[in-house]
Amino acid sequence: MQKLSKKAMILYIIKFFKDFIFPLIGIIVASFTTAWGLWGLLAIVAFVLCLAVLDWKFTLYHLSDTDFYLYQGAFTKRKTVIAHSRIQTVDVTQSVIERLLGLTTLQIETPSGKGAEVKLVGLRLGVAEELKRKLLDEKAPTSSVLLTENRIDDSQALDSPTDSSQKRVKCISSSDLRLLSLSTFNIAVIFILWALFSRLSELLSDFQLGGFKQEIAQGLSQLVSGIDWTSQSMIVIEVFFAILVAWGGSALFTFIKFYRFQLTRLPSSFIIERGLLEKYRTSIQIKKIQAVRIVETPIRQLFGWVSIAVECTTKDDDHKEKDILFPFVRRTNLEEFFSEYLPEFQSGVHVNLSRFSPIPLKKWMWLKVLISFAIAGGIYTFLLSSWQWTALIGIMISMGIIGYSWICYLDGGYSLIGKMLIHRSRGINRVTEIVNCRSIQFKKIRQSPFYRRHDLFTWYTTLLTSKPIGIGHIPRGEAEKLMDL
Amino acid sequence: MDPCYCGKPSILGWILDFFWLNRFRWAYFRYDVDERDVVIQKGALFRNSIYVPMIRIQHVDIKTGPIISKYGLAEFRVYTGGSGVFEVAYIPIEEAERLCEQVRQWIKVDEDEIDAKTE
Repeated sequence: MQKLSKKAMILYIIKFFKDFIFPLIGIIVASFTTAWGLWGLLAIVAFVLCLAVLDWKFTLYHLSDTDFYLYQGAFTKRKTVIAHSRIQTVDVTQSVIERLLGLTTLQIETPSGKGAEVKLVGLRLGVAEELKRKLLDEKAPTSSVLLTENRIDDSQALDSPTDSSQKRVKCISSSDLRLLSLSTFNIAVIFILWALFSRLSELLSDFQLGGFKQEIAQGLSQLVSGIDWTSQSMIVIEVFFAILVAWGGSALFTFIKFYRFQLTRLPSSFIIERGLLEKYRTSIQIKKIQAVRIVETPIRQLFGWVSIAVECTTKDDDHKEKDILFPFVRRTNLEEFFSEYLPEFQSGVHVNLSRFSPIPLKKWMWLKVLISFAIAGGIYTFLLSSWQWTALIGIMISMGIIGYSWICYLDGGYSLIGKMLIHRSRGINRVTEIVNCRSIQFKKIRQSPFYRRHDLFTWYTTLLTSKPIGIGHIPRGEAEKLMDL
Repeated sequence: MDPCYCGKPSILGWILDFFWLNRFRWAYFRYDVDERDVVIQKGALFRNSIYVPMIRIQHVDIKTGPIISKYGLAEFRVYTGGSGVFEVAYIPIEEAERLCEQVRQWIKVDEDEIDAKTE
C-alpha cells in the first residue's frame, strides 16, 4: 500500500480552483461587497483544504505480481483492479506546475474504449518511473511467442545503454523538427484567432494597424482602378494575414509539442518522450499495437514527408498526439524505419494496393453537380446580387467536389498480404493503415440497394480499440476473400 | 464509406418499419452458429452479413422484453471487444438458451486451445 506524494494536495487544490474559476470569481466579488461573502470564501477555502487532505489520505495503490490495485474515495469507496496482462499503455505526463513541484501524472489504460482507467495525479518522478517499469516489464517476455529469442527484460536493456543490440533510439533532429513545424497548418487555429481578433479589432481600429491597412488598400485601389476595390482588397489582406498568423501559431504549437521527440525501441516495447513545456512520456507494448498508420497531410505529401502513428488505445482529447510513434519520416526512408523499429509490420510498407470500384464515383457524379449548384443557389439568394455569380460559383464548387472525389478514388485502396490488411483512404490527410488480422474483432459485408445491380459490397470491421474500418465497394469475390480472414 | 452500424434506430426507419419493411427484413434474416463463427444475415434494403469469429467473442447474453416474451421470443446477443454487439433478434426463447449454452461452451474450448498453443 503506497500513498501519493504529499505535494499532490497542492495539485488537487490548483485543479479545484481551475475547474471552478467562474463561480469562485463571483464569490470573491461578493466577498468584497457583502459581510457574509468573506465568511463564505473562508468556508470554501477550508472545505477545499479538507477535500484535498481526504483525497490524498484515501488514494492508495498497490502492486502485486499479477495485478495493480487502486483504492479511492473517503466516503464512496472505489477499488480498481487491473490485471497486468490487460494493460495497454502506461503514460507519464508532467505539466508545467508538476515540473515545478517535481511530480508526475501516471495513467494506465486498457482497451476498454473509454479513457484511462487509472489516473494517479501527483506521484514523485522516480516513483512513477519505477512503477511504470514494473507494470510493463514483469510479464513482457513471458507470454509472447514472437520474441522467444530475446528473452531479456526491457528494464535490463534500459539499464545497459552500451548494449545497442537491445535498444535503438531515434531522436528528431532540429532541422527535421523545424520542417515538421513549418509544414503544419491547423485550420482550427484560424477560428481561435479570429474570435480573439474580432474582439481586439474594435480596440485596434483607432491605432496604427487600421491606418496601415487602409494605406495598403488605397495603394491597391490605385493599382487596379475600377469598381469599389477598396473593401475587397481589405478582405483579401485580412484573410492573408489570418492565414499567416494561423500558420505561425500552428507551427509554434507543433514545435512545443514535438520538441526533443525521442523514440526508444526495446525488445518488446516502445518508449516515447517529447515536449518542451509539458513533458510527456509514454510506453507502448509492441504486442498491444492493433494497427500502424502512415499519415500524410496534404502539405507534407507534396514534400514526401510522413508521420507514423499507432493504434493502441482510444482517442484521448487532452493528448491528441499521443498515438504518434514518430512525427517526421521521409517517405524514402520509410522501409528503413520499419525494418529497424517496427519489423512486425514491415511487410505492409510499399505494397501495390488494388483500387476500389470506380462505379460509385461515376454513378453519383450528377448528384454532386446538383448539390454544388444548390449550394451556389443558396449563397446567391442570401449574399450575392447577380445570377452570373451563381453559375460561376456552382461550376467552381462542382469542379472542386468532383476533383476531390477523384483524388479520393485514386488514393483509396487495400491489399491483403499474409496476415496483414493494408488499407488506404483519404479524408483531408492520406492515411495508410496496416492492420494485424488478429486485432480484427468481427467481419461484416453490407450491400447497398444502389449497387445490387453491380454486385458491389462494402466490408466493415472494428478493432479492439473500437476503431472502425470500412473497405468500400469491392466485388463479391474480393469481399468473400476478406470474410475468410 | 462511412461505417454505419446496426442497432441505431432512426425516425425514418421507424416509419418504414411500421409499414412494410419488416416483411423484407424477416424474409432475408438468417443466422447460423457453428464452431468457427456466428453468422448473421440481415437487413432489408441494405443487406448485411456478419461473421463473428468464436475466438473474438467476449460474452453472450439473452434479452427479453415484456412484449416479446409474451410470444415466447427472445433476443440472443453476442459481444466482441471494441464495443461490438450483434443481436439475433426474435427467436424462440428455448432456441436462444440453446445457442447461448452452445456458444458459451465453444468459447471455453477455444480459450483452452489458445492457452495450450501459447504455452
